[in-house]
Amino acid sequence: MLQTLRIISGRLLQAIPAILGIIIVTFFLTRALPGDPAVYFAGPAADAESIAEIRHELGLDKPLPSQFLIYLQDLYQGDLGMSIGTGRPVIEELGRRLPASIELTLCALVFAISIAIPLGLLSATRPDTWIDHLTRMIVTMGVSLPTFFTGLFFIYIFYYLLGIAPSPLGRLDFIYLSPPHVTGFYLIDSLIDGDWEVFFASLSQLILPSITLGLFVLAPLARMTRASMLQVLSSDFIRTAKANGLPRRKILMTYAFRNALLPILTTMGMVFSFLLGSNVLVEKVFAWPGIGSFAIEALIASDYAAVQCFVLAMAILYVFLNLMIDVIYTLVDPRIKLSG
Amino acid sequence: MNVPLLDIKDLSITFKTRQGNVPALENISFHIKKGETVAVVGESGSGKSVTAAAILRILDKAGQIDHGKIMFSGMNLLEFSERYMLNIRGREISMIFQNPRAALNPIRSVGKQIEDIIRMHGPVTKKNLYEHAIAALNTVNISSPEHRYHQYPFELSGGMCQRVMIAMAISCRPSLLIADEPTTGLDVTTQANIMELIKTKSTELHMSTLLITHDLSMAAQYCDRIIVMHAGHIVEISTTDDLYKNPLHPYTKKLITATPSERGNVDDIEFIPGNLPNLLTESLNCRFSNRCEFVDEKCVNNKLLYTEVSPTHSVACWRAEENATA
Amino acid sequence: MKNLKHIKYVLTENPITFGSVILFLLFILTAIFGPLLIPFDPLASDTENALNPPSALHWFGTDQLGRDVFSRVVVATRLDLFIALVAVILSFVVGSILGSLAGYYGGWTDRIVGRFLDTIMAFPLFVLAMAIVAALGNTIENIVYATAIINLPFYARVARAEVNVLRNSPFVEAALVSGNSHMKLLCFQIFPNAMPPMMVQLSLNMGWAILNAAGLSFIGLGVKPPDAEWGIMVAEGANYIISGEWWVALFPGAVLMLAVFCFNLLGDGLRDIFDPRKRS
Repeated sequence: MLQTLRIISGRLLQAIPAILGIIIVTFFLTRALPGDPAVYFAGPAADAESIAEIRHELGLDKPLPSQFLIYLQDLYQGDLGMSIGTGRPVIEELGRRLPASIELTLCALVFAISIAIPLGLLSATRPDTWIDHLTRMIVTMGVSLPTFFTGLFFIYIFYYLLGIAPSPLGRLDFIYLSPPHVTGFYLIDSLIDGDWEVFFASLSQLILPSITLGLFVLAPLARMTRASMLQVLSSDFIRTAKANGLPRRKILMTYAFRNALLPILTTMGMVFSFLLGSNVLVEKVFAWPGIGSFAIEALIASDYAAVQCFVLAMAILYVFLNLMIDVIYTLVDPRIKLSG
Repeated sequence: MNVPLLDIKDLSITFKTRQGNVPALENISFHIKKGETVAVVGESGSGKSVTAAAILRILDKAGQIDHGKIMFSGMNLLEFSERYMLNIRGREISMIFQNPRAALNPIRSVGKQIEDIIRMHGPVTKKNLYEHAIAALNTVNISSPEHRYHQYPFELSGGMCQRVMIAMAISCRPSLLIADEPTTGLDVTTQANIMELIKTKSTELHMSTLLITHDLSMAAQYCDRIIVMHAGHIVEISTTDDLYKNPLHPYTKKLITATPSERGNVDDIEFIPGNLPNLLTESLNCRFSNRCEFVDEKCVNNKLLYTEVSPTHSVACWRAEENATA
Repeated sequence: MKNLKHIKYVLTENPITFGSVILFLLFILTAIFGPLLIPFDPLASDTENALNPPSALHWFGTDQLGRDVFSRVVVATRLDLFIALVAVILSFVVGSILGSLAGYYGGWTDRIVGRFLDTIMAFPLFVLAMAIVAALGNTIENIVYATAIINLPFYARVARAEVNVLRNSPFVEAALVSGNSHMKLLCFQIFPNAMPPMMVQLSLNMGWAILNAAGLSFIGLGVKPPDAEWGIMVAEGANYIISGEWWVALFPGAVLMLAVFCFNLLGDGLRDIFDPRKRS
């Protein structure tokens, strides 16, 4: 147990340089704004005096290193500036919208994993069958699909032509009231509230965007599962297991798959990068009120505090997701756990 | 009981590859009696491991059995369903491999791996499973088995991994143990320990052993009989003594002189000229003919002839009789 | 000669790879000559004929301003491929230099380059691209830079790995001993040997770069109306999907997908040519 804690804290420490790098980069990005940042932060209606005031407030008249220190201080206090659009602290708006994005991303992930892994498994254990060919085709095509295109395509087919998908205008059809806020996840909150109608309504709104988002990461996951399984299945210890009379099922799941999981876990890092990035595109297509669409609105409105907040949030989220993968990997592979 | 435990008759196996079909084994016939220790000796690529894999029916998918019988206790294994073979593998016939650390599941404790096999082959309760595993570790002389139970292959030495594999193999008291180059990759002292262990266990359990090796001297040291293979053919079968006293096949003779012995000189070691024939392109009656100093027309044009020089000594060579006296 | 034979073998063995080469050539030709051959002016609006479905006159129909979608898609080919190509080349050049230096000299160079790359990789890549374009300004030029930056790590890592391996090889030791300078060795001996895996990476990255550029313009960055670019065309057409006018968004999207698909297949084919061991 102690050893595990030590490894986890070690990994946490390793994440610090990454976070530092992120903070520095976001700092420079906002300071690299063309023109006068103060103008942007002050807003379109500001006059010369209030701009100068903002400039002083933001410390933009100070030398760069002290600006950075102020920036760090603000970050520490959770002050990421005010949104031009709402006039409220940016971090508040982000917090409000975050659950929507997370719900969407989680559903996409669940969808992707539940299709990709079985597909990869079947493809590896039944080479040259129709399912193998299907998997290879999906894998090749999947990485070529532009997320926003597939989203629109699905909307056209399932909403316009077939009429089985609900209107792609957000998390819930306007005839329903959103469930009382507990977690922010409509699926969970509606269940807590006992409101089955809202639950199913939320679910039906989630289906198309989750599939669109998940489809993009399905391909690399399936490919990695297949490749990893193929490699493991041809290794010596599988031959031993077979020779010892272990049944096929045990060999596949307990012996082969667990070993194959390790490289698959490593792929998850890339998967998360794609997910978080494509999130923005899917949210635009489906008018999903998450942080992705928040960022797009902010970009259009030149609301730079909001954009900065979004980038920081996504990056830090990504760092922690990678950390989580790292920790899981460490726990799963005894070779790392025990040799530290 | 004079029916041999294992009786292979005219086994031929072809491998289908992208470049064509390779007739890996051709008309392999030999038997193993109960309690016997028999060695199959040959160079890499001679077909020894293929034979072993065929017995357990764990051949690569590309391998096809053209014809032949593998009689085990009077029943033809080749006629069994895959489901029935699960009862044979690990229980009636077991196998251990070379490079033992790679042959064990790297992320599963050795104790659990032993349990997996015991659970497979017998009605055992969960509690008994652990005790059986510890007992298995004890049988192969692994100290502090309760501690070792939880360890992983990468924490154990090569020799200890091999012991674990042996423990797994004999946990259900099989009648036949196939050892495919069990000492390759181990240092010399460990090699001797492992071979001694195998020998001891074979005697203890009245187990027949099929030792596959390229090391003729090891075969001679531990086995009652030796089968010499070359390029997918059996060229000579004999008791160990007889083989050394009276080697009949030119290849066997070359093998003996190519093997370093305790009493000999390094300078006396001779190389066997030539290479194994390319079975894809060459179709030879005698697959040693290209490397043989005694080759003549008869060898090239006629099918291989198996002669039984004595009840315990047979050879596949046209010129064996002439060379017998040599 | 042997290489040519091998290439021919790969192409004939695998009809898909062959198809992707044909498609690739088609795209290149469209990009170069397309704008000269299009039937309509991509910028000419004709509001009376807005949102007409595909017909014999307008193969891909017309968009909300009555512009011919087909002509716009063709013209967009040039822009999109150009953006992707420049970005990838930039990425390749800078990434190769950084990676080669890191792999060759090791030590502090390696550490600094490594930190720099790690920082890039610490961001979800598309988000970083968004941030860069947002910070530097909403122009096509900045889309190129952003795409180039986020693709840097791929090249740098490949270059670093290859150079590192080659650096320790006997022929390099011998060359150094006989007085060759490090730089000369790196440029003329070591790096050319690292080229094959980089070439595979180039093609695969082209597909990825096109997706990136289109994605950025889809959310409104970089390309501004009335320029014709696949991403922005899909964005404009998105509004009309729900009312059933599918051609405005779907044609540019389909062509975009085809282009990415083509480059990915090409990359796979190149991989087969240069390193059959890595074949999946």
